[in-house]
Amino acid sequence: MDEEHEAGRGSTGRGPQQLDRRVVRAWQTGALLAVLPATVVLLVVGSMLGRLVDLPLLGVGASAAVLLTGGTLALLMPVAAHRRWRFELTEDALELRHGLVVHVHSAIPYHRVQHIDVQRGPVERLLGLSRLVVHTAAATSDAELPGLDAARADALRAALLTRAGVGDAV
Amino acid sequence: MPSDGSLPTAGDPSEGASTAQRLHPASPLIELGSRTLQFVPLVVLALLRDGFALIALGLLVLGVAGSFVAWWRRTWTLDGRTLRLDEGVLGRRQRVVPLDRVQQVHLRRGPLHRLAGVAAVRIETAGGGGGSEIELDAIGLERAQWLQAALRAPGVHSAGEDTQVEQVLVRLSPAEIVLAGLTSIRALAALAVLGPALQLAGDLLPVERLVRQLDPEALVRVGASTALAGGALALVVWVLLAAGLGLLTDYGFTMSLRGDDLVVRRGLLDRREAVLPRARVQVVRVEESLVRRWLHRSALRMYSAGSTGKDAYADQVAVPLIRRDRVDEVLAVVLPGATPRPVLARHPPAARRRLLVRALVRSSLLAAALLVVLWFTVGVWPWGLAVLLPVGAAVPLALTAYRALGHAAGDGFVHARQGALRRTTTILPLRGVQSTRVSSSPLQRRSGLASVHLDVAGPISAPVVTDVAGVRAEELAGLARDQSSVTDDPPAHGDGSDVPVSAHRPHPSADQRPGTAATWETQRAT
Repeated sequence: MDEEHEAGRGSTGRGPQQLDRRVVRAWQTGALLAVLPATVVLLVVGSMLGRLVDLPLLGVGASAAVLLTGGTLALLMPVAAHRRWRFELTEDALELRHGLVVHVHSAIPYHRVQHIDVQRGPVERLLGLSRLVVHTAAATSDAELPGLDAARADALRAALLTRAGVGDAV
Repeated sequence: MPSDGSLPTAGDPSEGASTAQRLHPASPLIELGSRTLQFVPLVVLALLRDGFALIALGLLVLGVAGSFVAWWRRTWTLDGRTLRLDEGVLGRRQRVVPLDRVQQVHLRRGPLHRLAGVAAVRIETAGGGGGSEIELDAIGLERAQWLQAALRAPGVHSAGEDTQVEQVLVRLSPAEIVLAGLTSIRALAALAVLGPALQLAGDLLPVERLVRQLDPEALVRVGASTALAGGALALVVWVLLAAGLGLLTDYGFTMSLRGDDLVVRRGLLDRREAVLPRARVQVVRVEESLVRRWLHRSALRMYSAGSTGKDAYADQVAVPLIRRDRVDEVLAVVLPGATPRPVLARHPPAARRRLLVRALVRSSLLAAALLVVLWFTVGVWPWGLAVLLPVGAAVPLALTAYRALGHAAGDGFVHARQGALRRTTTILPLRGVQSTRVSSSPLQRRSGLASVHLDVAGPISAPVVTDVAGVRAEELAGLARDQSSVTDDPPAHGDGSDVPVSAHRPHPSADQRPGTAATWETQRAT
């Protein structure tokens, strides 16, 4: 372990860290926003089909089923996903562990970091969150930290850039 | 003001390169030549109606004039460390490419180019996406070759000592190119197109109807013989097509080493010359289809961060066919240090179980779907026996796939092999690894397996080592990351016999960093 503490300051400290709990709210919102249109479409199409085959409640039934299962999943999955999410600034790489079904453990060596974006979508802005996107030369690199407190995201970005060896330039 | 862009008559093609240059004066003519077909409707129109002749002529003149004006307003400048392209008749556009972002430089010469003694220079920069390449079509041949050399080695503007010496690595005879064409994927594609086409031709030709009218009882005999003749014809057409396509793209194929660059030349009508600095090779794949394995042949593909993937046959640096026992010899030059290739470690028996289960599940689903279809159409008996085919084939295929699985890592490289029918061996220099991912699906976790993805620069799909033990997967990823950092100071590993792979790199990892702007564009109106 090295001892550069100036970047640490607790917010970017050592050991595995979790995402901000508010990200659960953001993910749930996103998932529900995806479920609702599907339910509406199913209601309309199902009702029309139902009239054809003489099952007047087909549309209502199908959309209710989708709303129920989809809604439950939309509410529960983000909680579980948040519970699994860990990231860590190890000695030489940013490591992420996440994924509910397929577990993924990615590692991005600091010296491969090209630039770092801080992004904030509308829902994230409402919740006071930021998303940190770390870019390498590879298009396939998986290096996105969703749901960090805005101040923490900035600190983390600075810490990563310091470790990437370009801290002086910022 | 731009100087005259014509081919310098004096010996030195670099003369005046730092000032703005026009393309070769033949360029607009070549451009018009490639667009001849567009003028056909005009000509037809002019011939059909008297009144239109004048309009057609006017449009033609306009088109020709437009080409010349566009040529007049288009200049390129090579100054120090950047290549600049200014173009646009009304809205001006400027593109600037830093030379250390250049990944590949190709020369292309179509029949018109060869007639005029010029070549098109195509420059690929890292970064993928649109606008990541520039084509200077066309420049005098000598000058084009000089430009190619200058772009490849920034700062070396005089004809260097090593630029003339070429060591030929692979040369393919026409017979081998025909063989490559016949065993390529394109040959299969041609077969798929040919079937329906021949059927259509058969429907259009009234042979059978004539025969039936003459003598209904002869139909059976004649039908059989026409089918046979049709089959033979199809075979001949297919062979000609596949061989022809192969010859068209790969005639006169050579791959050679010039200095630190790989130079690939090929093509019958369009002669292409691609140059790829070997330090920029990110991944090498050795591909062996079933047929090629029988013939002891392989194909070799080299990917760099500039491989766009859009125009696969145009810019790929690949050897279409090579004897299997020569692969290592070529590999040793392309990726110094990658040979001798290590013995690949087998994957755990759990991987075999997983392949078997997956194959059986998939083929059973296929069989079930087939049965349902048969139930509603021709009946389950005896056609239903056909479902035994996919189920029966699944097991040997899965076992073959397992036998193909293997990997080895260390000394700066990862080697990974997989694939039942199309066996692919990926050789990946770890110097290019940008990040690593270890993933495991629920089924993999149950068997204690995981897969490793190594991300490299450019739009190359990630090479994967699938189904290794979870611990081994993490170990491989860690090793890849460690050795990826080692090469940032070149002499850190290598035993002296290594050819320096970073000779042309002013900043060790500059070429791996296309994420930062690879080209700049500015637009303004005049």
